[in-house]
Amino acid sequence: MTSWAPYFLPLCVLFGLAWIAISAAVILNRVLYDLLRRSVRAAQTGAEASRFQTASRRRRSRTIEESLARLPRPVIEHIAADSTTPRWQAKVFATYVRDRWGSEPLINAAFTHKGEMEKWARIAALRILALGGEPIIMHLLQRALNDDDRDVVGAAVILLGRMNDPAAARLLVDALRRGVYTQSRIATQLDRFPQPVVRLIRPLLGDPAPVVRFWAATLLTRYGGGLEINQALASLVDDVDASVRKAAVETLGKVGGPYAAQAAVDLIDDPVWYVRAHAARALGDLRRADLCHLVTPLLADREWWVRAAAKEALQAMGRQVEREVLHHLDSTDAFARNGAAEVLQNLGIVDAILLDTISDRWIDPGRIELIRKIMAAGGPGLMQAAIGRAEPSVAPAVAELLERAA
Amino acid sequence: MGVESFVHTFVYWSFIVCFSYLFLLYAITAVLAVVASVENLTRKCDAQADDYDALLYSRFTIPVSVIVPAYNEQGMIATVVRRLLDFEYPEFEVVVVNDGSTDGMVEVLEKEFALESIERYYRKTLQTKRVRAVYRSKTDPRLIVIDKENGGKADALNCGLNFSRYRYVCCVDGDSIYHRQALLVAMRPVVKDPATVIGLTSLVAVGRVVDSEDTQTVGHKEVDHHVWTNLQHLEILRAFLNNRLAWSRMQFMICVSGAFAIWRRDVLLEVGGFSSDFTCEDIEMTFRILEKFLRERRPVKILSLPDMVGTTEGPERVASLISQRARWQRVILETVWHYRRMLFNRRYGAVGLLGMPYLVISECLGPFMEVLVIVTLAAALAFQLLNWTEFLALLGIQVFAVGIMSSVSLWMNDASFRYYRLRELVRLVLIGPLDLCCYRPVLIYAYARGVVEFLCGDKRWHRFERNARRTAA
Repeated sequence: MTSWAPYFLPLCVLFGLAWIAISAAVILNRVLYDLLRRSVRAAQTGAEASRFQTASRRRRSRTIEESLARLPRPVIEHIAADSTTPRWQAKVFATYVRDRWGSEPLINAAFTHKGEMEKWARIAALRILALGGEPIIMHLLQRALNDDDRDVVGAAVILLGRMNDPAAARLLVDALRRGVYTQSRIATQLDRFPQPVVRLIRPLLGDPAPVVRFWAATLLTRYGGGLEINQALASLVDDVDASVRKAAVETLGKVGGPYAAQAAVDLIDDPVWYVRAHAARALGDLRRADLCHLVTPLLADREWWVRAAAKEALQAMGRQVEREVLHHLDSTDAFARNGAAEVLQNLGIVDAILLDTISDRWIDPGRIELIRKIMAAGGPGLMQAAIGRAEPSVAPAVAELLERAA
Repeated sequence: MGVESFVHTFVYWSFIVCFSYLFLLYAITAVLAVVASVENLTRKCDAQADDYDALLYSRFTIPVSVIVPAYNEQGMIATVVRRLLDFEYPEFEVVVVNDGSTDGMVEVLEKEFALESIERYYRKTLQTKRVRAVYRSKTDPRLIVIDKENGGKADALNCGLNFSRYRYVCCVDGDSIYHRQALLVAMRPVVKDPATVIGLTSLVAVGRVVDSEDTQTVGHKEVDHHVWTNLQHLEILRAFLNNRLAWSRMQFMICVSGAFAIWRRDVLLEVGGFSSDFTCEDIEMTFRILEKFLRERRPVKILSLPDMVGTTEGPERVASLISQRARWQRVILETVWHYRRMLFNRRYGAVGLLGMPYLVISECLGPFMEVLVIVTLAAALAFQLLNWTEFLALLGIQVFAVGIMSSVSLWMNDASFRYYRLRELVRLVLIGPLDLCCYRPVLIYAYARGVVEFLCGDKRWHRFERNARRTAA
């Protein structure tokens, strides 16, 4: 041990100095950031002021230049490339970068990358160029879409989604078709695209890949009101792929139209459970209480999700389903009895029956029989819950009534 | 060989073992810190390039069921649930599971959210203790409260799973306050790669009283002026930023924290739900999923994010802290022992070859080695194998080593998020080296107690008294 002892003190000093150095770096970094933030705020205020100025364009750009001139280039680029910066502000900063330092270095950075740091610089450059409206941007984004790196592809998808240009929509649709990135993310951008893209999506309904047909049917929710689209969606009820059938009926349920209800009716006994569930939901969305007799049998479906969808659909249809649901209190299937009781509870029908009965002077034996039936179907939990829901002033009467019915 | 000679030899070898261990741990920590810094930077760049608006307003954003198991949280629960319902996220539900509380927690919720009792026929996929009642809110249809018999946190989570409707679940604590963007921030990596990301966690800060309004204003966050809580917060920062970010990058994220855990629901059901056979459920669930997926060679990604998603209450009393940390130590030992077949097993990839050995070296051997270090140093001083200068220099090395780790994690945190005021940052930096003198001895005792409890088969929760409630009282 004695042979090592001379090293202990220098080692301690070394560790101490390392701590001081790192801690000083943390604090210094923060102090510099705070100082820089003040300049950035001033520049942002300048940019904001110029936005609302009625002065000439030249004068406005001079105001911006004066505000931004104090900031170093990496900071301006960083703010322009940050997705949390307000879009108009990012645009001002991006235009300034392009005007002051030219597009060449950004185009070079956006073209390709090697390694992690260059990758993020490439993504930042793409964003700045997209905001600055650089003519070459579409080519660069197309290139980025074909990159091997998922982060670059993801960034390209986001940037294309923000561009108010039909060419960008075409690239996104092509990316969706080829599945170059998580398709829900591409679909998100197409769903929010600033321009209508129905003419690009409509042909995808006939795509050989089921996943593309699925997304096409889903994305048409925004445009499904037209007769032609409605018809095209309805034709997908015969699709060989279950997910496509599901998407078609889901969309039709949301957009309505002449073919919607029939499509849902056709799929209500589909062999695949999630298609049945969405067919039921579609009828609920369409508020087709007249078709509730097609939904109620699903309360006894072998799949839990279908039973849950049937309950939701019946609740969405409203109290008009009461008579049909009451029939199912006698079902031979326990799930159907439970489900019917739950629907009656959630529609407020159970509470209404109980309150009506206790407010009548003469108690109708038919009502007592009905309450008994609901109790048998829903079990003691349903009735306990009904007592719990009742106003304190009537709760004892409700409890007494239930006891009598039991 | 005389007694003195024997003691000298023992102390000499013990000294070599202890300091080899410590320097090995420092070396591993340094490597992890470098990897974590790269991951932190990557996450920062990734967040800056993302489209939060699309995530927030898209109908394709995956909906989430937030499960809140709660036991005797009368004082906190209304605030916690209010903040959860305030999440900025397109579609989610909040499932509060009252695990047989003996205080007035349900009454508080009933009053605050206009609850009404209903009967719901749910899937009993996982066996749990009996559900006494189900409530829905008249004011917010996204809230459902389940009142069940006491069965522990794992049982309450399983009950919540039975009631949850969505594909992903976010398990949170009933005593923590979460930020409005927590779900949005955390679900970003999931939405990007839903096929493989099946679990995720993120940093939850430690505070003394957490139901204050100021929780997440960039550049304005204050820390409690309470050294004890600050030291706990620094410890959590080190664990999340120096360690878990690196584990996440190196694909062996072995502990999804129970304070904020996002899981794919079907995976939880596939592995049979949370287990009540362990002291805590979080680390065991992570191991169970990793073990199954890696054994079956299925794609699996469990991530840890650097974003601060909420604040949890840290014990302000020494006894409470000891009890909490002893429990953590116990569950680590239980899990490592249960899954010992994964250790150095190539079938489990980085988890078996890096994660498990790291856990064994740092968490399982740690308590023994730390006690040995103290004994060895004391013996070396007593037998004059070290003089006071050398002794203090050795202590200084350890003091500054922890200080360096704290400062590095603060650097990572501040460079990415700038949460704190400058003066709060300085305070945390300066408090870092105090760990060894004020905090570590308590932890060493807690870990040793955890080891003893593990060997005795103790699996109790040892709940600590809430700080806020004591203050209110």
